[in-house]
Amino acid sequence: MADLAGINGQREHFRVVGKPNLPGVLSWSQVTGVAKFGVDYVVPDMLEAKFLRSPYGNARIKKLDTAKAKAIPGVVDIVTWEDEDMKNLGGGGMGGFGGGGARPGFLGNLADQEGMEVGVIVVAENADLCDEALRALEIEWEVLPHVVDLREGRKPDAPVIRPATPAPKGGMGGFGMGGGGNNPPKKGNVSFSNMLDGDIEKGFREADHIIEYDVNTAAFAGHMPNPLGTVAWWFDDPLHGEGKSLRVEGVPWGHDQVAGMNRVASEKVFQECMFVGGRYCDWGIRKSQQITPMLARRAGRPVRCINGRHDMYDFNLNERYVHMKVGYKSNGLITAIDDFSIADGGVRGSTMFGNTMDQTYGPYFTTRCKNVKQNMEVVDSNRGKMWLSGQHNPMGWDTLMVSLYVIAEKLGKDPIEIATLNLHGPTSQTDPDPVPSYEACVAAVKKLMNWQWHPTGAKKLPDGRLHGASFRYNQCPRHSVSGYNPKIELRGGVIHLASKGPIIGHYGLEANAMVIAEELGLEFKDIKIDLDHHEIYRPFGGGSDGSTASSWAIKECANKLKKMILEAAVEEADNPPDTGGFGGFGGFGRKQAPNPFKGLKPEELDMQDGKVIVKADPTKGLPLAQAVRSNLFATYSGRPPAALWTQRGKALDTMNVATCEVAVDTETGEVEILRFGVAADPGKVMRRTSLESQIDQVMDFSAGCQLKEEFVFDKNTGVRLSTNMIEYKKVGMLDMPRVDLDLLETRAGNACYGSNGISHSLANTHLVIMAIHNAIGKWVESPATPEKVLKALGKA
Amino acid sequence: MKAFNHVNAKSLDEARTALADGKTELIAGGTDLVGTLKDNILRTYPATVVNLKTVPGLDFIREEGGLLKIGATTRLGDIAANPVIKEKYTALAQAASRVASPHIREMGTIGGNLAQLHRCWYFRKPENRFDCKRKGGDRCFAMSGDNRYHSIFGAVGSCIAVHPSDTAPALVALNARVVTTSRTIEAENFFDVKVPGNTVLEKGEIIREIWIPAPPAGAKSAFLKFAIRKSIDFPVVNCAVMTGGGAARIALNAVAPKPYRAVKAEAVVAGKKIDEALAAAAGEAAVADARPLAATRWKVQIARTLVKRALLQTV
Repeated sequence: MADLAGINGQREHFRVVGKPNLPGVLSWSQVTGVAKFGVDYVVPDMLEAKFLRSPYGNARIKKLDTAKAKAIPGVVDIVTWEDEDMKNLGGGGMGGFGGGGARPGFLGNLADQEGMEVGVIVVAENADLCDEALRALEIEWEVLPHVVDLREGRKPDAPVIRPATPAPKGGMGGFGMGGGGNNPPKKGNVSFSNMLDGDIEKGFREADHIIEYDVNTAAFAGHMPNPLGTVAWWFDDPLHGEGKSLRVEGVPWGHDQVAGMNRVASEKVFQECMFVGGRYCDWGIRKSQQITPMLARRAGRPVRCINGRHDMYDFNLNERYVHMKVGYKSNGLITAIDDFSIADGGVRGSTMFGNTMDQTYGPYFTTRCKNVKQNMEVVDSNRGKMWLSGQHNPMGWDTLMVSLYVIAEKLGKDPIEIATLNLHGPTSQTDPDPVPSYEACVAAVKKLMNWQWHPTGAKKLPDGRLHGASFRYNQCPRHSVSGYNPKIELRGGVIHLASKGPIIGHYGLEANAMVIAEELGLEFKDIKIDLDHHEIYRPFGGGSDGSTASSWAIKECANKLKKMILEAAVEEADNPPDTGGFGGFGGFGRKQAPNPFKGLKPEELDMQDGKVIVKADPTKGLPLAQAVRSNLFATYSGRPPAALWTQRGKALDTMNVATCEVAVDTETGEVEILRFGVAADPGKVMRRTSLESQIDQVMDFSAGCQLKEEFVFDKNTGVRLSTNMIEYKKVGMLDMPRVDLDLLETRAGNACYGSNGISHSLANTHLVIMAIHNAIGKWVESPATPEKVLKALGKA
Repeated sequence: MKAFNHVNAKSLDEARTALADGKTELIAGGTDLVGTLKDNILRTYPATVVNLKTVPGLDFIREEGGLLKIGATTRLGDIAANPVIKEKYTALAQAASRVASPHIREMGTIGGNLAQLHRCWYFRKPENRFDCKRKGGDRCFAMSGDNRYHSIFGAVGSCIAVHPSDTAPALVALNARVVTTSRTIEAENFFDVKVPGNTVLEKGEIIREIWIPAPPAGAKSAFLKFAIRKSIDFPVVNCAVMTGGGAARIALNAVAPKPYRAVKAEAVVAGKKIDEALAAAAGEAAVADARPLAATRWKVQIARTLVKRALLQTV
């Protein structure tokens, strides 16, 4: 594939796109601390609000008496789930990335997770008074049975924590449904999702060998260090019609949803905040972000509600136990895959990513094996919630990678050899040809790592630790499916790109600006990005892949504007606009210098180095602001061709590979990642600095989830014990692994200039785990803490 | 965080007087206290917090009369960087340098590091979610819950939470004394298991300084810490040793509710030339009396390994 559908998709030379370290307005705001996030807004006369949060894993409020709380001086309002205002809090629908929008029952009296908002919200002069009021509530709880251990929860005699719910429906447009038809009905806490492709029995009959093993994936948290929350207030607005307008800060991507929930026209909702704090693909809007307009309306004053540190530990990946049975020929070619898993369904409202969605986008169809069975049991739990998307989406990839590793180990071969044998060609599972991008990535990573495979346990380092290595591959995806509606304007001689925002850290807008500069012969710094919540366009559809897809639309739009500019340059050369005199502003008319474009056609002009120039003689030209005095704008509505990735691995274009080297101290169980090696081909690098950072970040996540991060529950109460930065151990600066990186550009994608994205494709659950096995010959479940490594070694 | 009165003490006497009402806490660096207050983990909340940083003469490091003397409010970062401590009292410098993070070491004090509350995720759950024995409750929730980081040498007063200090084992190994406003206590006798405190300090008693005798001629000391992360993490196990001059002192921490002096291990190495085999034997001896729970067995392996490696560092 390539960018054949768009203009200039085959461009050979790049001045701007792909260049590293081009600082932008948005970068400056964040590194200098000028950027304001929702929780940075403190306004005069502001009240604070806090939710009651359940101290139990699963519980209902039976009786509530708020009298003592209300009597505390400084407590302004207490709203319960039974209040009409709470019941009438409107459904906001999706309206942008707004998963978790308010629906009937925004706040109920049942909490199915420790720490969940339940029953009551208090509003007071300050946060301390809110805490005091919450403590003064007289509550009779009905403590219900809880499930925090999936294997216990799926047992036939486990207490049923939730009545049967409808079978999961399709996810976001383009992903399709998880699971297949003919699923058995829900039983106890367990829903079923079964898929079958090909003839699994035949596949196993054809196999020379069959292996069975477990690939278990621990849950882990995105943990957003910026607490989520909003401050909102209503104000008299003379410019936007009858009724008060709403100002709300802290939900920059939920503008339309907030408007809908509060039954106010979108034009009457105003926000300044454009920055969203660090997160990885968690688009969920929290209750603290939705509630403040209603509270502010009741109080007649600004109200702020923000989550505490302990409230920011939602799942980025669900826990899953997977039992694999794989048949293969003597040369290592896989003939059948039977994947049985027990997945965490989480609490009410949890996304299907991380369980049934994986069945739709699992990795198996990147192989030549057409016989695949996937049976999943999704267990209701009180463990927590995964919002909209997550760290590993799709997440099933490492079940295949471990298969390839195990087969390689059995055959005494390099896992890269087995992976290459099993990978099908570019166009289908029966395509015998190699995938050029994959071949290039493998060659690059072997060179990068000075790759020398060794059998399990065979290499000891000089300091006595055991060395291990591992390999995985994935397709560089593009899952962005939304259309784009950019508007690019020439105003006063300056190019403007308008966007709805927000700024989520992937610098998609700055990638867009690079494309505009490239196409219009300008510098990156010449493009002005205008942010306004009332605009339409935003470069979303995921992370880096949203950047590449939106940039494709931007490229089309920029070329439309370019055509208009060149036409205007010729028109203004032949019919110069008035420069002044009476009847206009600017004084007396002046004599103009000869215009080099007079008598030419638009196709004889071009844009280069900030000027409009004559193609035949580039020394003849005018700066843009002089060449065109008119204000022009171009719009575009569309999307690039669908990515191959949507074919569930059955067609392959841009690929990536990753390797890992570890050192295992067999006396303490400590695992050190010596380095990751990544060779990735996103097709075309757009904003290089963003891409490098995204890869660093995702390998960091992978190190954390496989070595240190763990959700710990008290099994007796369902209470989470690890919801703080001491107990939930994200890797610190001294633990961050080294990432050696080689970025390739085969231009094999079909978004802007042949790009795709990286998205979640390098995030992995078992690259380190496989390397540990290569070192010590034992499987250790993630996170592979020293405790678990020592147990695997028989030393604990 | 609830409001409290804040008093800048001008003298230790003023601070002691303030403590008499039973509703007052002391603050130096505040790196443990503030978190405790913000999370509201205890049954009671102080009405007043008295600042010791404003008491003159508590922040010093000097050698005097054959002793290294360190004031109670001396910051851990200063201790870690002090050239005399690094050279002659190496275990203490190494221990101070491994506490938490650079930011915390710039604020945290040695007195606070010794007196800090223990680390148990049941004890530390906000809003006193688990009203355990160390708060006046009637049970230890860790005993029947998740206790993977807890004691390997059994309970004290039914509590299996561990003492988390990094400097404590170093001071025990260096034969230090804690000088308070009313007495002088051997470091290894300074610790206790109270509701909720971790020291033998009586009501109104305040740490004034730490005294460490000059090491015997030829003695060397070392400290090792094992944690899940290389920074900003409490120890899973830490170990400090001092060998030479015919004697050995070995202390472990984060293995029991109080720092643990490994006397059996000391007997193995005292007066002998330490090699790999002897160090390993000392490691075994150090954990000979361990009584781990099922989930803490792994810590026994860590402890024996740290003793061995710390001893080998003194060779």
